[in-house]
Amino acid sequence: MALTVREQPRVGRRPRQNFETWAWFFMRISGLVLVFLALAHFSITHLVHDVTNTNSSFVSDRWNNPLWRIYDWTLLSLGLLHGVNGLRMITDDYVRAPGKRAATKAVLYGVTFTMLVYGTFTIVSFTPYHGH
Amino acid sequence: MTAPTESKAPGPYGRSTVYKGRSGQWAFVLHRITGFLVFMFLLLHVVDVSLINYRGGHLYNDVHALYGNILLRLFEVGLLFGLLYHSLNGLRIVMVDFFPGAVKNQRNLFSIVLGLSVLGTIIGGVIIVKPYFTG
Amino acid sequence: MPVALSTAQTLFSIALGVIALMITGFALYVASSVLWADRWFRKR
Repeated sequence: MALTVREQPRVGRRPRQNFETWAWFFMRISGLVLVFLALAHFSITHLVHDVTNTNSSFVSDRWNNPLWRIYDWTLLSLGLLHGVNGLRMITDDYVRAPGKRAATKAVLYGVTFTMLVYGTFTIVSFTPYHGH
Repeated sequence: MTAPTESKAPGPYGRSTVYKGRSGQWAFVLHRITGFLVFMFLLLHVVDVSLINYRGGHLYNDVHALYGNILLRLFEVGLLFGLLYHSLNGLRIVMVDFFPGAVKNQRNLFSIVLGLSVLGTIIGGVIIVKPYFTG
Repeated sequence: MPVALSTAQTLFSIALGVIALMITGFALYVASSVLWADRWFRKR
């Protein structure tokens, strides 16, 4: 059962890096950042302040400071990208028919992209209320 | 990892699960479910926050007035569990990925993850639901 | 129901309800998958 030279495994050759390699790193790096961003965001909006007090004035005061806008936008974009990649993997696992899988992904990417654009627009175009 | 006869033997799952992964497969399943949960919530959240740009904030406050009711507070507690579990289990995954020796302890780590998630949810849950009763 | 919901509140509630159903459905699907998910590659 000797293998020809061509059939032998090419030891020492690194396998080609592809999208999945990069995605693997992205999930972990974005995940680490998101742990902090998301849990702090939840604490501020639901625990430190009661949800009945986080009204439009609360948001206006926060978004008066551009750093909060950057924070929230980072949370938004990393969250959506991390999530959409997760859903991509879920789709690959559970939607097996190629046509349905492509359609599911198309809807998934479309909705994600739309929310990313719309969310960015919300954060960027908001003008704080005066008198607060 | 598990005995080959396990699929026929009665076990904690009755007719045994196909992957026989025990706690590891539940960690994975729960990671998927909580990830899906948070993502779906995020889609809705982008829309409800975007209301702040309409009618000088009145539309935002209008919808926001719903949040104080008990059902939505309970949703928040569920969301908290989802966030906590997904974050902590994610950390466990990163730990095992970058410190492969840790895989020996992965079952213990999973118990810690689950325990901390439940604990955090209870503590946070009390903080979230209390104002409904104390006003 | 003491106070009627506004249109926006109704829409929001419906959306939240739909999401809750989707999450529950997905959760049941994934949790049950440990019993049958090898159907895509079982060795016959």
